[in-house]
Amino acid sequence: MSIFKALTTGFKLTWKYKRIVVLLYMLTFVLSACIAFPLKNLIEVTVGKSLMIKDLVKGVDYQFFNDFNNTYGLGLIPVFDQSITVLMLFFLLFVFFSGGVISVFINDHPESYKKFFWRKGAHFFFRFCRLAFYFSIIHLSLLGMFFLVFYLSINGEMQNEGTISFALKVISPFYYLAAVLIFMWQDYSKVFLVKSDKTWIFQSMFPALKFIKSNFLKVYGLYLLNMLFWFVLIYLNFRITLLIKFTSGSAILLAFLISQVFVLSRLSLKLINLGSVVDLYSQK
Amino acid sequence: MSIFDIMKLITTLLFVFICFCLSATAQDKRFKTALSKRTANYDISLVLNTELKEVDAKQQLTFKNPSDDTIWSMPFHMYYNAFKNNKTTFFTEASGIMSRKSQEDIIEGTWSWIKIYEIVDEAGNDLIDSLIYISPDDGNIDDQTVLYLKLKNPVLPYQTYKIDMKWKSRIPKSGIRTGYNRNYYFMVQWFPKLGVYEPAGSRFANKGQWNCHQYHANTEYFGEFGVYNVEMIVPEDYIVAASGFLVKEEERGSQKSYTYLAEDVIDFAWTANPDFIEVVEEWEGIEIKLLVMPEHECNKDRFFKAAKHTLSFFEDYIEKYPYPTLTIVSPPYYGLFSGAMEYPTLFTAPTLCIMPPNIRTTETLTMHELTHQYFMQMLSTNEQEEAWMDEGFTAFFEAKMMDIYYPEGVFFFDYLNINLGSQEFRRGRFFAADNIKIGPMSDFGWKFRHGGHREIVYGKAAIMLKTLEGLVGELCMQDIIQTYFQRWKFNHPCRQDFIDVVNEVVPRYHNKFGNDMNWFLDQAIYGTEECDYSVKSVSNSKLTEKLGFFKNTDNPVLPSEKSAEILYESKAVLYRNGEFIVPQDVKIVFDNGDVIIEFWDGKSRSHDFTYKGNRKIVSVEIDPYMKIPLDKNLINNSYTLKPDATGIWRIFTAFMTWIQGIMVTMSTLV
Repeated sequence: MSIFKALTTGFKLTWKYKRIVVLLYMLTFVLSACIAFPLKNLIEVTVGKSLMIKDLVKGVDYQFFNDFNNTYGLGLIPVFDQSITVLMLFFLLFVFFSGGVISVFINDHPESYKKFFWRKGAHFFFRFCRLAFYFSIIHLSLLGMFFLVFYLSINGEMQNEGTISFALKVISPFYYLAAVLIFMWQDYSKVFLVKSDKTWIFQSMFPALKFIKSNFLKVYGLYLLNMLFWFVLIYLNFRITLLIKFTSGSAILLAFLISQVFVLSRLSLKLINLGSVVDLYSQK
Repeated sequence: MSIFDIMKLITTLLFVFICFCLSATAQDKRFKTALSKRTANYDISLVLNTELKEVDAKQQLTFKNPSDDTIWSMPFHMYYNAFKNNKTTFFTEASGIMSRKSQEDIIEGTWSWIKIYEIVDEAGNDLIDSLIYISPDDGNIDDQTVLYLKLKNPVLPYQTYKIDMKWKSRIPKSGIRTGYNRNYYFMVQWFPKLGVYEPAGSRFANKGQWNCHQYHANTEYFGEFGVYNVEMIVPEDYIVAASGFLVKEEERGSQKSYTYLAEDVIDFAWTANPDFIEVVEEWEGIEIKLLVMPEHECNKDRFFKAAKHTLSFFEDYIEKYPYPTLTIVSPPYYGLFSGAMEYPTLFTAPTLCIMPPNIRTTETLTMHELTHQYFMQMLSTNEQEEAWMDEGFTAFFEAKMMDIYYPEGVFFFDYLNINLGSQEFRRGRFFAADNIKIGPMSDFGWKFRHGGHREIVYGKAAIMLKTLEGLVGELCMQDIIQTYFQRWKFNHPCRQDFIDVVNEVVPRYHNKFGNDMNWFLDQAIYGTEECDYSVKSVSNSKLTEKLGFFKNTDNPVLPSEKSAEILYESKAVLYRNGEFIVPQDVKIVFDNGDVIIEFWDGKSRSHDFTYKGNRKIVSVEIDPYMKIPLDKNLINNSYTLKPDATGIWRIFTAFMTWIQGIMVTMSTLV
């Protein structure tokens, strides 16, 4: 039962280095607040004294957003531009931290992990950047391939629009299973890269692929299990949000706190996944 | 008598009985007294050739001169010629159409047309040489959508005149509104149709004249009331539905003939498709027929429910739907070119099998198109010249009904409590337009050459009517609509007729608007200005006692020693930002709980309400009862000194969480 052992190890590693999870969580919190505050200020300055503001407590008020967009819509452009910049920044920071996380998990020295975390993050940063770039291309190619299959399946004389939904229903699971393979390959490549410390990226990508091939059932099973957890978290988050009746500030605060728990959980899951990947790699 | 003979006898008797029943049913459906003047009546017999995509027909037109004029000519709409070449007025106006025409069709020269090849009057005169194409709207010589017939014998005042013709047409492929795709045919605006004769004094006519416009991209049709008796011969496996009701159905070898009778209607539409499923329900004696594709049958209850709600609403609001049948055609997805079109007693309302129940376009379209039976069909306004008088009224009622019968909204989703009401959706679509001042509602449809037609004739008109209802009240509005309908049903009213009714009814309910409502209607119908009122500021300043010299310079007034009660001058300053003037109710709330509703005529650029006393203003709200959706920015209609930021925090936390969600999702790519 090496899958469950790996998973347990992933949990243990994540718990052991929970400060890294908190750091990553704080990163999302601070950066998202940097984007959300200008939006809040924009609303406050332009329409903050309108009685219509209270209608926003219940959720989306189309009339408000429509009139706001028509009158003050230009103010939203810098907010969205800033969002894109901050998201790009987060992406780069996460690339940086990924090298540190995997190095910490592989070496597993709790007493000196902080120094290790930052140093290795910097050490592997550019290679992880390249890796993320190559895998983005692979992901896009895969998406393009499945889109082509989808397009060909609905092209020509379609009997009815049900063909579109049927094709989507049939193709989506296959895409999902294939995409999981790529994500998995990417994670193992990172582990191989940190372990071997090779400059040439492909020297990590190909051994990772070889490793996946020889341990396919185990590594794929583990990955699907992790993905299942991910879906369960998203679903739970959605269902719980629906249960809250937004009528007061305390309800908003409660919903926000719950959503933060889920953000933290999803980040933890990411690290649990990396931890379990490291463990499976170590079992080879 | 052998068993065979007995069987034959029984079969014959059964056949006679069925024929009798059918004929009795058809007879029952005929109106005992005509609802309209029945000015233009048609007997048409046609054959649909599904191989060549052509229609071959013979047609007899019986025209009753509605005036004391002697008429020497007749114009006919030849709509299919709009698809005859790429230089027609229709193609020129709808530049995007060419991009929808397949390259293969262009190379093969697949264009459509309609032509009359034989025409004689009742005296037997051959009139084929008396036909010429004219272009009354733009003089385009490549446009052949209006055919002008010079008569050899005139139509004398109030006389009946018959013309027989034979014509042929090539059906457009996936045209706009009409045409075919694969084996689906939606046959509308498909035959040589007489224009409308307007005697002096009717609509805008100073003297007797024909009203027959070319076919434009933005506009649909206008027609004269009459009786249509139409026989359609189609391949035997085709299912047919049409305006009116079925009077005869006959097998003819490999073909089948359907004869429909439609009385007191302004047009005739029909459709044919072998794949249609026919579902019939009944509502208070009205046969509601739904022609739907098998894959869309799952949505049949949505159509029927919406149709019955609409019929019920109008029975209460105006008058019961008078026709014996109502046909809803839900086209296949490849027939969406014909989607959402209204014709007498028949309309299309598309649906999709993948349409989730929280997107209510099926219901919205059903209600909208069915409402057209009242506004455009029974009240036959000129859609080409005054589109707002049918689309605007229809959009107004569609939104009203949707908000009554589907209070969850046209689109609703539990997450973030999204609940989009029909009324606010209409308003939102109008104000989100590129240019809401692009033209007045009173403009002809084809004058909107640079866009804005839909936004103005649907959106602005619907919001204008909602604002009118807000100003005069729901009861008064219902009285206006009822009076307008009773006075003009089965006739051709124009905007002035509606304005006259408003000006007649409103003074019976209110005296605060003056002698008439022209001050409002003129701005809305003929103007392009926007309406926007706002609260500029609210202030409460302490009143100071008199100090210093007043009557002389010897004895200054000094501060009094007794501690006086603190008094305030509380002031609310209001702005009129737009040029559109509407009187406003203003709600003023004080810190001691007092609430005052003030009235502002809305004319000046700025206005204030000032109070002196021991109370302070807390909030001010213009139009607190949301009577005036025509105001383009409702957010600035109110101002409070005690803002409740909870709503902003809701947006802030939701937005922050979404960004975090995006970040975590992005992390999977690393």
